[in-house]
Amino acid sequence: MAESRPSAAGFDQAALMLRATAAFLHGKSVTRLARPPSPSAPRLLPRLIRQKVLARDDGAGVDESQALAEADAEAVAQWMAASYPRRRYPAIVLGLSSGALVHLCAALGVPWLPETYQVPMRPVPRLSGAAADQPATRPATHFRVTWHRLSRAYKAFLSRSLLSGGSILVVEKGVIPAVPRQDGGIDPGLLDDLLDFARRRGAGVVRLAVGEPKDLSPLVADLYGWWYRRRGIIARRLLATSLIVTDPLWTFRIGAVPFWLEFVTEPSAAGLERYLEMRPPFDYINLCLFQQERPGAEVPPIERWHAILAHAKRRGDFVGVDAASYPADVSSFGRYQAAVKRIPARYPVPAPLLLEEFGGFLRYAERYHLAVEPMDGRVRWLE
Amino acid sequence: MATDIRDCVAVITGASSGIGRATAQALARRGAEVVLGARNLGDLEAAAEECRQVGGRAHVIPVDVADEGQVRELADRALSTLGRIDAWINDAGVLLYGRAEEVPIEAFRRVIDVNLMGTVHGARAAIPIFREQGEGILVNVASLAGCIGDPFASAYVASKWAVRGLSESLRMELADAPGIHVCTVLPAYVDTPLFQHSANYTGRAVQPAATAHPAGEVAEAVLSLLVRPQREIFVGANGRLLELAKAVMPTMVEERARRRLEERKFQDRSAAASPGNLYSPAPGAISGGWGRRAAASRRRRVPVGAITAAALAAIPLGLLAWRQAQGRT
Repeated sequence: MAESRPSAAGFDQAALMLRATAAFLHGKSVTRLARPPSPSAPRLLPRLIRQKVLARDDGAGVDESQALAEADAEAVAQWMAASYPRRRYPAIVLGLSSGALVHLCAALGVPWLPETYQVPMRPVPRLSGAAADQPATRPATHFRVTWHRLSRAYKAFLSRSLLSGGSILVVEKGVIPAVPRQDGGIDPGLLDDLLDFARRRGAGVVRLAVGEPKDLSPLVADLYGWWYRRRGIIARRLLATSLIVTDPLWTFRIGAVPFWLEFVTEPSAAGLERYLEMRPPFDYINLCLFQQERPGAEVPPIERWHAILAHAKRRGDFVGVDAASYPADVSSFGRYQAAVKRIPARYPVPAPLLLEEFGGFLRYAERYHLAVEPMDGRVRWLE
Repeated sequence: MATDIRDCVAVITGASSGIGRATAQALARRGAEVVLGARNLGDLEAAAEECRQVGGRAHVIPVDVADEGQVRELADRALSTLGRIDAWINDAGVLLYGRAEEVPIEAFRRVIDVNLMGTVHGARAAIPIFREQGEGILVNVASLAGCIGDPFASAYVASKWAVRGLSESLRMELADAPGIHVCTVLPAYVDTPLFQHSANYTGRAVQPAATAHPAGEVAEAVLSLLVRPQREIFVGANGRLLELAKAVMPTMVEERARRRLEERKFQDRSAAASPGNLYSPAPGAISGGWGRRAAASRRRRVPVGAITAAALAAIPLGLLAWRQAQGRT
C-alpha cells in the first residue's frame, strides 16, 4: 500500500512516541509536544546526542567515525531507556512505532522501546551494532538506526526493569495469519538476543504481529472502550489523532477512546470511517490532524474529515486544527495541548490494566487481523 | 463553578415534601428548571405545580432512591430531556425512632438504604454526568445528627454521619475535576413532616422540638451553595461550635445531649409501633406545622468572634476535664 509518508524532518517519530509513553508513566502530560530533544534543553540530553543536535543546527561538520556513530546510536538507546521511571514492570514492549501502541503501553503501565529510530547526524555507511540507512527523502542530518542486536542500553534496562517472571512483548509487522516473518519485522538477530535474554532471566516472550502499525488502532480503541465501561464510565468520546500526536494522560482525563491515524491520508480516513461504522455511535468525536508544509498526494479534502466528524451523535469537532489552513495547517500540532484541555470532561487516570485482562482481550486478536504468539517461556497472562 | 440559578437545571430527590419541596420551590422562583424525584407521584405533581406557579419549569419522575436502577433512570431521563444537569440535590430521607436493639432490623436497614444508599445512588448517577460536563454541584443534605449522636435515632444518626463522611470522601475523589463540587448541608431542627411520618418503635409519641427552622431557610442555604459552593454549611444551629465543644469535652457534650434528648424528645402519651413512611410514602408538604419558628439568623457562617470566644472558654474546661481524667486513672 502506497501511503505517502510525510517528511519527519526536525523530529523523530519514535523519540516523540517514546516521550509520550515515558511522560505518562511518570504521571505527566506530554509537554512541549512539538519539540524533539533539542539544544533548548541541553542538560537533559547525553553529551553525544547534544553534540549531534548542535552540529545539525549549526550546520557544522561532525566527527563521522564509525566508533562515534555507534556510540551515538547507543547513547540514544540509553537516553530512551533512561526516560522511563526506574521501577519494575510486569512487561516491556519492544517493537514498531505506533501511536496506538503508545496508548496500549499507557493502559498496561509498561514501557516501550523502539526497534528503529532516527538519529540526528550525518550518515555513516555501516555500524557493527546497528544498521544505518539513509533514505533519499531524509535530510542529510538524520539517519535511521535499526537494531540487529540487543543494545547494551536496552539489555541493561530489561535487566533492571523487568519483574521476575515478566514478559517481553515484541510488536512487529508480520504477515497475518502468522507466517513467521516479513520485511519490516524486527531483526532476527535482535529477536535471538531477546530470546536468549529471556531464557537466562526466566522471562516470557510474546510476539504480537500486525499487518501495519495502524492495525493496532481498532484493538486499542475497543480495549479502552471496554475498560471505561468496566470502570462505570460510558465511553462517549472518540479522540482520533494522527502520527506523533499522542498524549495518554489527557486521553484518560477527558475519558476518550483513542484512535490513532498513521497519516492524514485517504486510507487513514477510510480506516477511521470503517471503525465508526462498525461500532455504536459515539456522542462526541474529536479529531487532530497533524499536517505537513507540503501535503502529500493522498491528503483528502477537509470535507472528508467533516463527514467523519458527522458520525458523532451529538458533536464532532477538530482539536487544534484550523480548517481554513488545511491541509497545510502546520501549527495544529502546537495547538493540540491547549485545545484538548478545553474539552470540558474530566475523568481520573486509572491504575494500569492487568496483563491478564489484556490477555483476555487478545483472544479476539484475529478479529483485528493480529496474531499473538507466545515464543518462549511461560506466559501466564495469555493462558 | 458558580451557577447562575436562572439557567440552572437541578435534580432534587425527596422533592415531594419538606426541605426538598421547599428547595424546588425556591429554585423555581429564581427561574431554574427543576426535576423533582420522590415516591409519591401525586405529591410530586402538586410540588411541580407550585414550582410552575412561581415561574419555574418543573418535571416529575417518581423514584425510590433506595433502588439504584430507579435513580439512574431519573438521571438518564433528566439528562435526555434537558441536555445537562447543573446540580443534583440528594435530599430524600426517612427517620426511625427506637433503640438499636429493639427496632426491626429491616427498619434500620431501610433507613440506611434510603438516607445513605439513596445518597450514594444519587452521587453515582450524577458524578458521571458532571465528569462528562466537566462541572456540576452535588448537594447532600445531611443533618446536625451528622455531628452528634441520639439515643433514640441511631439509624438516622448513623446514616447522616455516613452521608457526611461520604461527601468528604467524594470531595477528595473529585479533586481531579476542579469544576465539580460536593457540598454537605447540616440542618438542625427543621419544621417538616419528617417527624410526623417517622417510624417509631419507642412506645411513646414523639415530641417535636420546641423551636424549629422553616424549610425555606435550608432551601436558601442550598441555593447559596449553588452560587458559591462550600464544603459544609450548617443551618439553624452553631454546628461548628458544637463540634469544637465536642472536640474539647466529648464526654460532657455527649452526656448533655443525651439528657436533653431524653427529657424533651417524647410526649407522655403512648404510641403504637409504626413503620411510618419507611415503606410507603406519606402525604407531602413543606411544613410539618409544628414548633415555634426559631431565630433565622444563626445559619451558615458562625461569627468568628463566637468561635474564638468558645475556643478560649473551651480550652481551660478541656484542660480541667483532662486533669480530672488523669487523676482518675
